[in-house]
Amino acid sequence: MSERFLWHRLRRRRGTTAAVALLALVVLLAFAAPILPLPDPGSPAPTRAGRGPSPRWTVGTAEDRALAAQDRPLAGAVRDALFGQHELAGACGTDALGRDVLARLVWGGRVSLLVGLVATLVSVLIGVGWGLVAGYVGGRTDAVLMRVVDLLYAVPLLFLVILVVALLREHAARLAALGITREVVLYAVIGAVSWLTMARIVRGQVLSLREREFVAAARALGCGDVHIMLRHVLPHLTGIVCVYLTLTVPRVMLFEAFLSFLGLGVEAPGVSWGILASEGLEQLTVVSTSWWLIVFPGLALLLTLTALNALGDALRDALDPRGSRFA
Amino acid sequence: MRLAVSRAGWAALVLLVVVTLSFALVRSLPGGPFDEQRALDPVIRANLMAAYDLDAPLPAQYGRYVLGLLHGDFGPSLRYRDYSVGQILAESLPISALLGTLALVIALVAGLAAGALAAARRGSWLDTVVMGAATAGIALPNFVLAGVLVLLFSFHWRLFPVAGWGSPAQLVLPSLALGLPFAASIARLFRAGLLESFGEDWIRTARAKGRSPSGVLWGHAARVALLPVVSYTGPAAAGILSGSLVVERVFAISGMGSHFVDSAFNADYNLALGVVIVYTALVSALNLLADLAYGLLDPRIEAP
Repeated sequence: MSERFLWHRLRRRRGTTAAVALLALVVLLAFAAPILPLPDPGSPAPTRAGRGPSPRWTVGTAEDRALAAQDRPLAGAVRDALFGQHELAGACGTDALGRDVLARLVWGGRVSLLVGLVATLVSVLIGVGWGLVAGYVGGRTDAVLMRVVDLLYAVPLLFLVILVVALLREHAARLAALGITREVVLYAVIGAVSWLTMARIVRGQVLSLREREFVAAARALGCGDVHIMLRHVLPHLTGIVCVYLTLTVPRVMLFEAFLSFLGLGVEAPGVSWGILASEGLEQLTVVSTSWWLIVFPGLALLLTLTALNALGDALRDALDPRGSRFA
Repeated sequence: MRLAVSRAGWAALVLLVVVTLSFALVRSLPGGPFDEQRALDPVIRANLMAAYDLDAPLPAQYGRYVLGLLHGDFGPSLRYRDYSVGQILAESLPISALLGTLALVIALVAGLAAGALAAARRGSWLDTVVMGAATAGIALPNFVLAGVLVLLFSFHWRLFPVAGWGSPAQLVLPSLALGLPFAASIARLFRAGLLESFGEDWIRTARAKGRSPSGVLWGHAARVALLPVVSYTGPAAAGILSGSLVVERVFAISGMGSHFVDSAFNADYNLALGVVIVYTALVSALNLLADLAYGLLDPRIEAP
């Protein structure tokens, strides 16, 4: 269906436009993080520790400038050209070590979104491949493949994943020598947990697509099965894959936050929203409650994931041939 | 009856697969429960491994483990040297079970109430607020929710204790933190189901015969709208059990979840496997119950 029509159908649900706008903003901020006028997210500054939200447009310290320029000379140059030496400090407060919360949110967003995207892609690859083969080949293969999916559904993959990640942490050095960094393990493991629903959905779709005339025509013309699967059936799956991709990213990001809370996610000094939220929780004591350390990361997660869910629901309704009447 | 038996058989198969998979996974990974900071003398290490049966070939270990399971013996804990896994599980399972049950009750009660309210007042601001809260509820990690609850109800308004387990007051916040995200999903499902059944003929007949709107909702529409909620109870229970990993840490509750996390970090194979098995058994039982309930609720499905 044409883009204009799809957009019109998407807008029928309340809040879709807001969701898309919010997501665009989040992605833009995450992408543009190196050129934004923010303090360095990782360098501790004990003199500024523990302050609540108090935005100030100040001149950055010399150490901050040096750190920023180190890894990304081009971005550093752009930032200097745009904003000079100024930076927006303390907009969301600082944490116990004096690191700026807004800067950590923006840079953490980069990591969280990246993990979300890559892990979702992993799960899409596995799920679509599995479902495509099962649905197209049919018969015994289909039965076996789907039985495996049913079995894996019942297995507590979450627990096994936690076990695997925890036990692998001990041997990070040995794995790194093989080129398997902790991030790669994270992507693979998170993706491996989330592909089951995609496989089921894709298989259902392929089962009905298989009976269409274009498949019979392709076969009559002498196309091989693999060719038909990849070149003819697969493009028709993009709609439904998009819907479930949009709905899987929030689940994956929640899982990453979960793992980070347990200490199994992204490693320090890296920062992600999950790490920020768990840090915020850790410092919650009766004596001093730095509410901004938990509220802002929580809001970031809440708004982004809600927007993704809203977009996914809207896409699902827009592509549903019956047309949902209940927004 | 046949359905119940076949489901039970399936559950047994799942359990076997889980045991095998977890066992293989855990024993195939490098490292072990005795790789502590201080390197052990090789003779001592060998003795320890032999004492805990870790030096036999893997298939033999597996066979011994399964045999033990059939007798209800989960083996000794590799970390807590004086305890068997069975003892630790017996101590912590009731705690987790109580927490999980409370969370499930909260999820069902709050979810059904919110969903019914939103459906009955569809299109009004109440509907928007409730559904907005529900959409937010499924997007928030439960430890963030726990943190916010503690911030508000323990620190700001000193209503509930911060952590721990034992008094009724300490039950409230953890159950809320665990159950509310699932209440959100249940609210959404129930509302959608209610709205869909409102358009059906039998609802119109009931109204025409003079039943009150709430009577129609709860007496007629709810029976159909409950079906997706019942299907969701299985995954919800599984989610509650896995969510407890984090909530138990936040509130310092020594249930099965916190034992599992500790055992993962300590490479205490037996305890980790024990928790996974108990977890799988619980979830399978709940799924079976949910299936039976579904069959009972929907007259179009034959009785099992």
